[in-house]
Amino acid sequence: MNIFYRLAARTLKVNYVRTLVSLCGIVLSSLLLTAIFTSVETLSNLLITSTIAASGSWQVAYTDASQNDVQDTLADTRVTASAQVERYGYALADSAEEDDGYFTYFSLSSLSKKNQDDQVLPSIALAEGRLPQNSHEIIIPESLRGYTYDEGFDTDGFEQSNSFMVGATVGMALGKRQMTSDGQLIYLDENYSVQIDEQGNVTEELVDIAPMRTFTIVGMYSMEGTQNEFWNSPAGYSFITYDDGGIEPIYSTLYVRADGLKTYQEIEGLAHRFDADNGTVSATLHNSLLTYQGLTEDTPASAAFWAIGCLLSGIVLAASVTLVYNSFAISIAERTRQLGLLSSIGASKKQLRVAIFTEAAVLGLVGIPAGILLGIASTRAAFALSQDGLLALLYGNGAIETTNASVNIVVTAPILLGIVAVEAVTLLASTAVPAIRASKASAIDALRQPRDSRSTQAGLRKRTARILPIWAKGIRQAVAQRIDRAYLALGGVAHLLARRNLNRPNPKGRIAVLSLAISVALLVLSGALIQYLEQVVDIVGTQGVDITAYLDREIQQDETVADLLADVHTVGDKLVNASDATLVGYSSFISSYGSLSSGTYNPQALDTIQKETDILSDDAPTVIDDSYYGIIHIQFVDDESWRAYIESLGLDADQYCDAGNPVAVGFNGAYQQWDGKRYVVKSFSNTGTATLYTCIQAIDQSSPNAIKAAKDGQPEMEYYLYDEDATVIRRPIEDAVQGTYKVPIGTIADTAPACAEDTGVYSPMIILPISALATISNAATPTVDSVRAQEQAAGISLESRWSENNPFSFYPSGEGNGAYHMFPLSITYSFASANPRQTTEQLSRELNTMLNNRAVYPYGSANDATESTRTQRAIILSVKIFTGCFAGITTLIAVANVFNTISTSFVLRRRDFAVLRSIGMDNKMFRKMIVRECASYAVRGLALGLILAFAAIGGLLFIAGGVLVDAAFALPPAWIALAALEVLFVLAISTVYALRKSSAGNVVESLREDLA
Amino acid sequence: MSILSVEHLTKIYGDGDTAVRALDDVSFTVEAGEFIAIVGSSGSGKSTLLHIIGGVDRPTSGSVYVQGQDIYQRSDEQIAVFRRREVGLIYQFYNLIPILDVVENMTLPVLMDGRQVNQDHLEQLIRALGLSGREHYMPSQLSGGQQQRVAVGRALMNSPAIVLADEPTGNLDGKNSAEVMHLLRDSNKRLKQTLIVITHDEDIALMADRVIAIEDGRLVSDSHQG
Repeated sequence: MNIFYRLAARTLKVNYVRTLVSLCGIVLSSLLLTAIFTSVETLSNLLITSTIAASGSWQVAYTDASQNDVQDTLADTRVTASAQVERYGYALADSAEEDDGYFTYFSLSSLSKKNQDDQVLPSIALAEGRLPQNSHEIIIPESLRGYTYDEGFDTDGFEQSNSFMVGATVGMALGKRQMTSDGQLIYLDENYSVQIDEQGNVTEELVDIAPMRTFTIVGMYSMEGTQNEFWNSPAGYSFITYDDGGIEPIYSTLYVRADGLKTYQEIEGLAHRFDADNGTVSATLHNSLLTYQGLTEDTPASAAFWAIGCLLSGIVLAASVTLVYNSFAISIAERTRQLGLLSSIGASKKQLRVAIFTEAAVLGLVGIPAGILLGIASTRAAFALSQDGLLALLYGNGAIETTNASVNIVVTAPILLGIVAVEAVTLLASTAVPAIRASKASAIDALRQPRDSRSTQAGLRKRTARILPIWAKGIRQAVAQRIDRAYLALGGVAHLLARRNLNRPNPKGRIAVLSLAISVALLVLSGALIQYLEQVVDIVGTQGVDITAYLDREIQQDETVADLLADVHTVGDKLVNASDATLVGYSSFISSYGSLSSGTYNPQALDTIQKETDILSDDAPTVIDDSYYGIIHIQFVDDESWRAYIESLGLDADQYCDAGNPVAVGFNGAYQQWDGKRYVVKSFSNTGTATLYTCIQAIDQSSPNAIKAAKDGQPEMEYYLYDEDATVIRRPIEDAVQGTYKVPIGTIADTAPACAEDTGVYSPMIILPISALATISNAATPTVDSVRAQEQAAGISLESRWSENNPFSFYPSGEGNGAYHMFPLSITYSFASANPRQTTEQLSRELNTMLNNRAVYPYGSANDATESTRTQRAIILSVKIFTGCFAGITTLIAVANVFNTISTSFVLRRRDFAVLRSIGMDNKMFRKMIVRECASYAVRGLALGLILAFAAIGGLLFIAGGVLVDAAFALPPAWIALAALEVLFVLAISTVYALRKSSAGNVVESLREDLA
Repeated sequence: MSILSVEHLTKIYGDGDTAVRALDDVSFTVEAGEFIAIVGSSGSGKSTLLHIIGGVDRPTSGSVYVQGQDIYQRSDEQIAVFRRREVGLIYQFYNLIPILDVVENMTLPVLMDGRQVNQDHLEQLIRALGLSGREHYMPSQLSGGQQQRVAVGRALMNSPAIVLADEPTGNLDGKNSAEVMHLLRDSNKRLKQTLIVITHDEDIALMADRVIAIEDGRLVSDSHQG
């Protein structure tokens, strides 16, 4: 083997510590580069795959295509996959509510034909039932559940056997929609909602109407998140059937994919293939996918990832270049004599360079593949750990469990080859300068005794000589002397020597300090980012409530409030039986105008929150003669929860649990979260009486808005008119309020029952058992009845907000007073569950069956309360993992660099130290000198790093402007401490190593070593 | 043809006020097989002269002809080759590469050339140098005298035109000194190896055929001895 290769191998072996350190640097930088670009590729790919899952892999869609158009397109060689959806037309319908001015269309289309290519279109996620299997079966959107639509006006085009539910039938006479506009005849597609004029009349018409056809509803598809977005109609409802040839399609939509097209011009070309014809076909591009595929005119979204990737890589490479450069520079410096000797024996410059580059090549051959493999493994691990967070970011809340997608990392050959190339070049660059220096190693300089090349010292002196004028030099000298004396006085010779050593021109030392600073900066920045994100997550205690279900219950004809409440209770049991949930309780939240007796209300309740936050306007609540006038919230909770609550407060059950004589608890625990701080609103200073306004006089075309003090100091009700000027009408309270109910407030508490929803209120809130609702309602109803009769007689239109005037009255909506009289009771059920997601689904299903009967249950939904917290935590974890890994590894590189520099600088000065020892310096002084030097590196590295970090944070705040300022992007103390620790650690190990190496052995041997 | 011819050799270090004339217009010739001792006080320029002859340091002006060839008319590459093949250098200190063993150190010039080592020649040398059995020792395992003998072996390995030695025994005790000088003399007498030795040692100077004295960079005397 060539002697120079042997030399290179031996050199690496002999200086194994430095070899290992350099190797670590190469491995770590290869690891990071691999991780960075693999992540970039994976994320880019993820965007594509998630878009395909949501909306299919098609790239161009041809709408209004005839069969000829379809055949023609399929014959186009550019098309590699396709799916065809038949469109059968529309039926128009009027919503079930009379005269609410609401019309809609129902469009019918097919699933893609059999033998279509997979994934060109997304699959449909069913909420209930199954997919249609013939052209008499349909699936409908779940949001239609329980509703009934009137027949198509003007034409008998639409029929329902029942409200929309699985098993019901629907009859439709499908046609094309068209209208005349400015003399032009235009066909309307699903992007157009039903066209009406200002009077509310429908201005479009249905033509080419096919005979009435009956369909059976066999399933329902839901629209959670972005699920099924593709299949739904933007301005109406989309029914889907099976294409067995039983219905004549009006036209088809052909979706195609062209895998071979690589530029956006080519895709555009494909889209415009019908331009020459004068046919009906129009083409749409799947922009959401094409963007991620880089096939649109704009810069692809992945470009952003790549930009960030390159930026991060730049940092990594800078760090590793300095490490490797330093290593080799040190190595060369140590071997100057050896190299000089080789040169004098006859080694050519090229041969010496080869020796150095061979060392680099060995490190590269071992380090780069190792780093790449580790990079792939660690990327896999990082993605696996942060999978939840990523999915949540991509698909939104609820994605973690709904999607079966897992994140597969993408490793492509071009990337790996690219990394190998970049690393090789970096390695070459790092060693080039030292190698050239090695070859230039003059045998003469090498063979001389003193190793400190005088040239550099002379050079420095020359440079400073040129810069400073003489008087400045004089001052400089004087100052330097003073400092020297101070050093001597303070720390003795050790410190003086340390300072002199540090003052030597030391480019390698500066590089080490710089890489230390960069890693400190990265640690602090990562910490600031993570700290900011954690602040943003509003983690509010859920008090053991994992799931909430909302249900609206419409009172039926001849049903009493007591009946209503009994059903509400039964529903609670039904929901528990249908799932594995435990019922915590249920509540109903009602807001009423009213007043609190003198001294009850705490006038300073809102002071702090108004002063320190922007949540509220600065209007003061209305307090007249120490009595509060305004909104009073009532939280009605189920009787069991109420009883337990009363017991927990140590109150007398007899007093508080008398349904006929309700006694309330005043709630002083309301709070708002702002800027990471909690503001509590203590509305009550004393117990007292709450007077609820159960019946407020209606004024035509207006609604009550506030109670203010009149000029005479008496309270008056303000009504806002629904006109352009927002005119305000004022009535004294005695005139406006027709009915009241007084509720004594027996006690004040800071807590509310767990099932009480919405405890973040500003106005005073009292808590009552739900049985009290029946009592109050029954007391209020006679007054409401008579007032309503008067208003009707007086011709007052009920555009006024009826429920606001009469919050405790429940009337069946069929009472001939229009939609404004539909005020169902809104109930919130609170559940606990070990498996919230699953339980939520079970509850949803049960609620859905109830929603089939919208007349009784107009609205219902179940909501996983823990979901958003889990999602946010998952996202933060992902961010932590990625930033943590990046910062951590960069830190390792910096540590290696600094260790290398410091330890070697001491080793190189072994002889100097021997001389010092020989003239009498003891171990203690020696140690002090070394520690002092190391401390200087520490301080400089830490200081520079912190400055860099603060500058970066400041810059980010400046750029981001108001967006980030809300949650203060503050300095993360824990991370700064961590950075300081890192610095101390690296210095500790360097110092220990250096001490060991430089104090080992005989003084004489060290002195002689050099001479032999 | 003289094996070595030095003509008007001048070497100046530094510039301006700090210029040092290490060599000042030195000229002489050496015939093949001669044993020359160069003497002079410290700082007189002896080492500089040796380095220039050995192709290690370029002169400021003047020429060096080895075997009729002006060595400084060549490229750096060629000079390196010249050093490998036509010159053998021995120093007072630090002669060996610490991470190569005895044989590797000795055969270094051959290996650098990429040529095959003549095993017989190597064995002979090792025997002659008294290093049998220590072929694979590292320099740290050898005494000062042994290290110097390896250096001698390296110098002789390629059978160069000239062997240049700068105080080869300066760091050795009496016995080792004698041994090293014996080897050098032997190669000079038997193999007709041209030998130029810088020395302070009178005894060594007496061994030589010719003594050249350098003082303040100038050749002050060049006397043949009997």
